Amino acid sequence: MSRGSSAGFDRHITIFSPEGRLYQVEYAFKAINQGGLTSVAVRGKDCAIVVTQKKVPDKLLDAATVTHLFRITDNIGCVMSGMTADSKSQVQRARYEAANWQYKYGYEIPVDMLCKRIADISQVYTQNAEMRPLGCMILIGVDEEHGPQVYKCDPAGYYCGFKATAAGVKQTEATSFLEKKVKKKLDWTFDQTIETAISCLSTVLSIDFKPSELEVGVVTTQDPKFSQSVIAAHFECDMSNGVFTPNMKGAQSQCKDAD
Amino acid sequence: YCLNDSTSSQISLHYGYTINKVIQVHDRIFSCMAGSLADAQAVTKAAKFHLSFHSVQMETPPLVIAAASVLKELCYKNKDELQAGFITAGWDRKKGPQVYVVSLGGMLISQPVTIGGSGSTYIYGYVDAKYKPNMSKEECLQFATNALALAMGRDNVSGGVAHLVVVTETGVEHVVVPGDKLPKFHNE
Repeated sequence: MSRGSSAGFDRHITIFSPEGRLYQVEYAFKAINQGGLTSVAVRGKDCAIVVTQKKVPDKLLDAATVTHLFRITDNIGCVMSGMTADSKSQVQRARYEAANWQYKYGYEIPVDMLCKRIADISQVYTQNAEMRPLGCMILIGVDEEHGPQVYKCDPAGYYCGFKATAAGVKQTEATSFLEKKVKKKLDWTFDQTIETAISCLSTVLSIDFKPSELEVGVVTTQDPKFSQSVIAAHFECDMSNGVFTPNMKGAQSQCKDAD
Repeated sequence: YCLNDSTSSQISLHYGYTINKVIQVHDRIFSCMAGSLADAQAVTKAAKFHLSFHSVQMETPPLVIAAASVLKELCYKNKDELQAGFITAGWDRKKGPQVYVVSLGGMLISQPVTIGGSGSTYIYGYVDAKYKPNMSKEECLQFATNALALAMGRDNVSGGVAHLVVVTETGVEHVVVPGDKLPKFHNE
């Protein structure tokens, strides 16, 4: 195939390469793995859960201030994957967009509209030479008409609603795990949704998580406020060694016994 | 118009036929509008926007003084175009129940009890005489209702329904008293 000439800038800014690729956008996807974290989001029958690892690399760090879960509005939360500073900037923009929508139109922004807005902004970064693309955002919220929602938008400016999705280092493995689970059953209860999300991370990363190593964000139809769930109840299932052991079938009944 | 007193609970009253001029700017913060209602409404909406953004960023409910300051900034910076004043009352974790007044030009001041509006001139004496600090919620409600009833009795442009809002740490209670159910005094 005859190669068109490129001035050599196609790797440096977001212009097309002769093959029709945007290298900077592809590099942006690679940059998401810089943080070394994986996040998973799952939509249940009446809830949406987002789970991410909490890695505190330095003993001197105050663990309470390290977080990748952010509240955008009262009822919409998100998990950010990618470089932390970029993530904070995107979250700030999302918060502004949501507040501006509420101010202009008088009602709270729906999850899909917020995702669309962030995606549209991300797309602009893939065209403007002076801006670089940012990270990946998974949003969860309860829509008045459509129930719980999980939406993801990526550095390319593409966004989509998901039954379950993952982002980060082990994205591919996590996605295949989730595909198998979704095939079997789709309308999970709250407990089952959390089980699925945590066991996905556990299996894919081969780590038995302690409560302090995970961050969980929850929205439910009964309580649409985005909250960071204290999942101690789920960890009570196996308090003997103080470690959460995911067990899809048995865990639910175990949890009830623990209560 | 508005009457507020800050004690263990917070009461904000308003009435004006059927228009509710007590607007919730955040979970535990309410604002009474005065002056040009169109201006006041526009300012309140802008303040709600700023406050919600501020509160999401801080990851904590906003302070009452923050709400009052946002209103003050808007009133002061746009004083040439606007004719709106506010009484902001609410509860926050730092200082508990508070009352702030933002006047027409944009002065912000904190007071334990305050009144405003056309009928307020008739009840300055009553409020000065009968207000005492640290009243209970029921005493506050009674005090406020009495003050309103007296003002409504004398001011020919005031009347209709009384809206009271009680703001406490645990929640918000709306009390609506139709004009004919207000306490009666000798002047009637």
